[in-house]
Amino acid sequence: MPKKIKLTDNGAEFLKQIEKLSGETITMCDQCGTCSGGCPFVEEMDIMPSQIMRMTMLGQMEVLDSKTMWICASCFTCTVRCPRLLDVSKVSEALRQTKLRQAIDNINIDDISKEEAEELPSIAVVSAFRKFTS
Amino acid sequence: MKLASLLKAAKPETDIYVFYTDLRAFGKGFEEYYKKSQKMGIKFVRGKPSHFTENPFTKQISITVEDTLSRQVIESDFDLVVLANGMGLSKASDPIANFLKLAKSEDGFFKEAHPKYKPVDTLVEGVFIAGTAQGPKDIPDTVAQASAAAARVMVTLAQKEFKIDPILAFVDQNKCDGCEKCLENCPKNAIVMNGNGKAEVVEALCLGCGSCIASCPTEALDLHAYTSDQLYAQIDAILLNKPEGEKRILVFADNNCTYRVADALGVRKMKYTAETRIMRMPSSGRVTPNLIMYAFKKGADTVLIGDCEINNLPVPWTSKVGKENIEVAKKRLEEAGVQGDRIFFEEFNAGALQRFIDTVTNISETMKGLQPITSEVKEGLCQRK
Repeated sequence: MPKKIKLTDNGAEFLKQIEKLSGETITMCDQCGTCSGGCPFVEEMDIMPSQIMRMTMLGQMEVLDSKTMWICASCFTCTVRCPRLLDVSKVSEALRQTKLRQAIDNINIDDISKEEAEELPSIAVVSAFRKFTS
Repeated sequence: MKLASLLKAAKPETDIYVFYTDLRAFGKGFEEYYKKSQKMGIKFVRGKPSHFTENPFTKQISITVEDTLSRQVIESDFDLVVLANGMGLSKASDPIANFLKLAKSEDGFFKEAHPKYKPVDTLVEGVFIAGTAQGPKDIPDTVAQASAAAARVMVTLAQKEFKIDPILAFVDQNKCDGCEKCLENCPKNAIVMNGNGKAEVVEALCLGCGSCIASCPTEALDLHAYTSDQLYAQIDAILLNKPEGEKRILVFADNNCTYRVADALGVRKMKYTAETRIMRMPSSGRVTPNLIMYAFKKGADTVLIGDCEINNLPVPWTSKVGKENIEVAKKRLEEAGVQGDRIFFEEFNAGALQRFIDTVTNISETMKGLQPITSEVKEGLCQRK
């Protein structure tokens, strides 16, 4: 379903923040699609790297709900190929940081059953609890 | 883009969106300009706004537009909307155009004599154009074109004597009976009556199109380099020794288009029917009914008059005269009792190579069904021996 989007001041702020975090000028993106075309994991993504760039540029914060930035392995293929010399993986990283700074905790200790807790690698459990502490 | 970057430079907090359908930074240094505006944070969205509505309270303007790159519809409010219009020629140009008799092309700008070979000349001798009078362009291109126009003006002014084409009409003062019929048949009003009550050609105005010649009942008018004697002799030579049973298409090819097409066909070694014989004419207006009749008398089976497409004609008038001449010739053929369509008219542009071949092939096919004109009928077609 196509939906209508609104260009807002919040969106402009969001773009500014991502540009500051990544150090990249996202408005320079030409939407040529070279990044998506070269990405080795693009099949696993729900939206493509070039769409990430576009949505960020238009200030669409829904971009933070996509899987793409978590699937990005920072292999730098997009960075090497970008004709505008933008570092798309840095933008990915900036989006991950922004999402993490929202400090949404998806792990509720009460939801973990005893059997699961025994199965889980202890290092994963420790990381999950330390996530917002530093 | 320029205005947007100026605004962004003056007020960096402004959020600027540029909606476009296609963006080409074609000139030297223009791509850098585009990159610079993107770097400043101006956002380029590919898509044409479909409608604008004004909010009656906030006076903001809401725009609905599809971002065709991300396939999303944007509906948003803007404080200021700037519409970019296409460039046109100022209305003030109309009196100038009327005064100097300058032609305008379909896009509304002044027309140049030739887009490639004469880009700053106009169809009017001694008048030159440059800059946005000729078409939309930027400052460097305008300066380049203006320099060219200035150089062309200097060429004209530096001459002690102004040289003109030798292909000019002339009047045989002994034959002219002063009927004044030719006066209205000159597109440039280059024929005047002299003190002796005879017509005279003003050579500085004459274009050498030959449109006037058919109008002269006494054959006093003629055209240098294309005199009637020369043309009749050409027809004689072309149709001399025509073998029994063979047919001939005589093509009167106008010099601007049809002759060039035929020339290009030769250069490219393209084949067309060997029944074709080509004669070069200054324009279709020079093809008088007498010439056509003489061609039939000497053995041509069909005649094709080739002309330019009317938009490409240096003088559109010649086409009108040419068509009138053809009508006269057709009537004369009918009166003489000649069967069938034998006179064809076709407009070519300089690139219509295949169409020329197709045209003569079709004529050749029709010609197979035509009986040869009998020699008695032939004799009656034209008074000239």
